[in-house]
Amino acid sequence: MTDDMNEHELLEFAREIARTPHPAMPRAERSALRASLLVRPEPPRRVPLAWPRVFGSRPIFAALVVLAILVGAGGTAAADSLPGDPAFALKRAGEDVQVALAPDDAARLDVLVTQSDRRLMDLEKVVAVRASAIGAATDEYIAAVARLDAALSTLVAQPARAARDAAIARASAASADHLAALQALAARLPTEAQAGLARAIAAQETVHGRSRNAPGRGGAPAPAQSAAPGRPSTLPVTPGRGGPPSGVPGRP
Amino acid sequence: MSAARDMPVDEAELARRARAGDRQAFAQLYDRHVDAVYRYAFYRVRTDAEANDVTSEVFHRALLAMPRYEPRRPFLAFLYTIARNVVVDRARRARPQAPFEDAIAHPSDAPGPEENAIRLDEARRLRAAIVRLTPLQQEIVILRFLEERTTEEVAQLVGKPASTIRGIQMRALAALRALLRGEEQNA
Repeated sequence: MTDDMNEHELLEFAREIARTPHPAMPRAERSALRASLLVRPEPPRRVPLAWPRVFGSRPIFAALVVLAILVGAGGTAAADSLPGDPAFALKRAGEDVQVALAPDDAARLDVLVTQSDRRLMDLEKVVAVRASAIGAATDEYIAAVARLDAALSTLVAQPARAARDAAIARASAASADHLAALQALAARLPTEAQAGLARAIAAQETVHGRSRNAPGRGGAPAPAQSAAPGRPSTLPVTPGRGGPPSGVPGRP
Repeated sequence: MSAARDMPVDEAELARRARAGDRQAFAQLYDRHVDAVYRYAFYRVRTDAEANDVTSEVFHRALLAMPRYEPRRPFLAFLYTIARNVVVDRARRARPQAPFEDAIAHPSDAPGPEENAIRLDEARRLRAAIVRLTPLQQEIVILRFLEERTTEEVAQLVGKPASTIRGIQMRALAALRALLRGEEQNA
């Protein structure tokens, strides 16, 4: 290709295309994206335990569970564990404590959104490094979304107020992101895992529809392929796997 | 990518704060780099709407990935890496893309002032040619000649030796020039 064109000419051509007027994101989209980044829920990170609350008025079992996690020589391993790992149950127990310690329903929803973020990251991680755990990770994700949906339903039923509306908005924004991430993940999953992912997407679409249509707020923009506001509230149940995921009766 | 170019002192601080969860710091990083990310997206996809979508997904993914961000790495390089993945993921999906001809026939998803539209038409014409290059050639043309990154920076971003980039960049330019000339002759 370069035989009939010397390098000098090509570099001149390069300078010519470099002078092409720069395209820029339309102002409205740019502002909307910035705003959505500012209100998006915190990325998953280890949430420090509220010690005074643990040892205060909250049930003793909460403190015992926290101590069991920390003293039981499993804390670090549990924090890094993935669905399917023995230590994952400890991690989930710690998360349940965080939910129990949430001061109100809005805070509880935020905690559950963060936990669903973690399950999404777990799922993305096992897809990359441990394909054998995709099924377990998908089930845990769906279970996390089910817990989130239950908390969302409680909050949606309450009268509009600033904290409630903000929490629902954050859940809606996170839900849109999850749907986009799950749809992207679909391309990387083996055929046998597609059905599980479809259930995860359906569960998240339920959350998205509920959060977008909550009275008292306008709703977040829907992702490209999301739909289904008004879906039935029943979340998909995983059939045929080795027991329910954590947090569901019948499994530790 | 050189730290001096992409990581001014205050940007390193912003990145550290954003990693720690400071959303305003992340917003400032967004303000600094959204144009570069959008330009990259603009030339890697076929329509303006797709470029908006890719840009949005890049920053939302970046926000989610901030706890894993390595502060010594230039933040723009971090964003470019995510942008590449987003573009690749979208290409892999089985969603029908806008035909190339449609992208030219309906170039503007959001018509702006006439002057901007004329200026953008040049960029869209260039994009229509760039998307016909191979993915690697596209990245080299965009990063090396439109974003004016050094060969070494491009090599680092695309994960190829600098010698490979040097070898490909002239062929990519020649191919792009041939495409644009062909379009002029057909017009």
